[in-house]
Amino acid sequence: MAARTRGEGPIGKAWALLPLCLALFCSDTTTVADDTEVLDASAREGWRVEESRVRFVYYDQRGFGYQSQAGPGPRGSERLYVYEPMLYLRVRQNRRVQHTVTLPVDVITSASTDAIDVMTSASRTNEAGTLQFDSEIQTSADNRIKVTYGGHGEEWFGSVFAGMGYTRELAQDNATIMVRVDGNFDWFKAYGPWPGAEFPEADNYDYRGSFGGSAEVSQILNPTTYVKAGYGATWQRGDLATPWNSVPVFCDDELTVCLARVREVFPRNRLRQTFSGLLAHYLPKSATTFRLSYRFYFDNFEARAHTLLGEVYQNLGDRVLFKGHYRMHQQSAVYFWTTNLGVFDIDPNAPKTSDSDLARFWANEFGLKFLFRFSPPGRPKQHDLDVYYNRYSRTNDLTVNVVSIGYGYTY
Amino acid sequence: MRTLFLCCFLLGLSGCVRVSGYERGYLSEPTMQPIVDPLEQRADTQLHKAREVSSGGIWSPAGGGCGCTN
Repeated sequence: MAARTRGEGPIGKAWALLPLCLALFCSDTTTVADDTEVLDASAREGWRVEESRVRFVYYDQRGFGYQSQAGPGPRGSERLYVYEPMLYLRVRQNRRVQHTVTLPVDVITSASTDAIDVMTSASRTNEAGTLQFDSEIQTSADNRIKVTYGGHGEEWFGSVFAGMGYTRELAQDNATIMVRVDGNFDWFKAYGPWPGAEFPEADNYDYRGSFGGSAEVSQILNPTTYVKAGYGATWQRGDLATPWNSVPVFCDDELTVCLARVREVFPRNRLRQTFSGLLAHYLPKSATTFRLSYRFYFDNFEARAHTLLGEVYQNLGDRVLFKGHYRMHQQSAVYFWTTNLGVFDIDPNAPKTSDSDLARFWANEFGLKFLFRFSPPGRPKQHDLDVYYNRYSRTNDLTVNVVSIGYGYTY
Repeated sequence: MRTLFLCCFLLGLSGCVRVSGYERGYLSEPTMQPIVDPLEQRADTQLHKAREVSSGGIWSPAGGGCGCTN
């Protein structure tokens, strides 16, 4: 089945015109500050592709989770494979305006681990596609606007999204501030006994939406180091549950046998917030880059998460770049997480989930990457090829091996 | 309060550090950019957003949809 990308209706077409209007407006503008006159002079340059990239990623996941029905006991299999080809294009319209197009396609086997919901049988393969456009417009020497829009489609699920950001350079480009707003809208088929419904409804579409804002500050500390810090918040409303996730009911004390399963239920509002920081440092003598990132997350489901990421890039001569990374993630469970609903807890409207992704756990990840350049740095028309391997493992019995190969061409 | 102090501190740093344009050669290295490889970053985000409570990439604000794919 071909991947479907939704959101191509009248609204999608209208969104398509938004960055174009901004781009045309900016390319014809002559009443900007004096320091942008140089930009005006070259604003009539024609469209040209500056960079193209393709990547193929393979995910191999093994593990068990209480939300999955693919097993004899309460903990079902979470085994799945994902094949993900991706395409990226960076196109310059003129000196002021640049566009990027990103197109990832996922082919997921056993997408819902043997059941798309509590009631029906399996959809063993799912295809998903996303089409994202980003347009960045340099409105003056110190100011940029970035517009993002696109859509996502997969079996029984569609989504459209849009956002806009503003960036300002300060102190002779030594500091940057950025503010951004984003929104998205999802619609999907929800099977199974509807929370609170007298009879199971088998063909309902349900909806959810989200609106978010973020702010970021970056600062150069010296000729080899900069830092970045940010805050973001997202408010979500609607059916936030995953339709095919189930919750075991009436299990024995050892959690080996359960009498039934019910659909998971989430509260209809969620406020998610993050603080994040990045430190990047370059060692000129050894041509090494160190990057350290940290992210703190909290929401009104009482979940808290800390994520630490360390990366090292090492140039091995002119033609080879090595990257190694280690990532550590720790999270607490949402307040309504359970592995066994009792007789008196079966209120259909009460929030409940057994999703192992929302449980308390630690996750460790390490990765290795080699990038090979086919021509020395500094020359036009650069080709590069890279391969990487990542291993992600969690303390609640989930492991993912990721292998990827990518090719890039800079014009 | 601590967060507010940190934000003010970072903003304040902009007033005391000046690195001229010709000194920024190392900062323009590809590995020093906020996003080194857009597709690799997307794949990383894909890996984490559907498996952790804090969906969204390390730089994006808290995620939007459910992250139902893989």
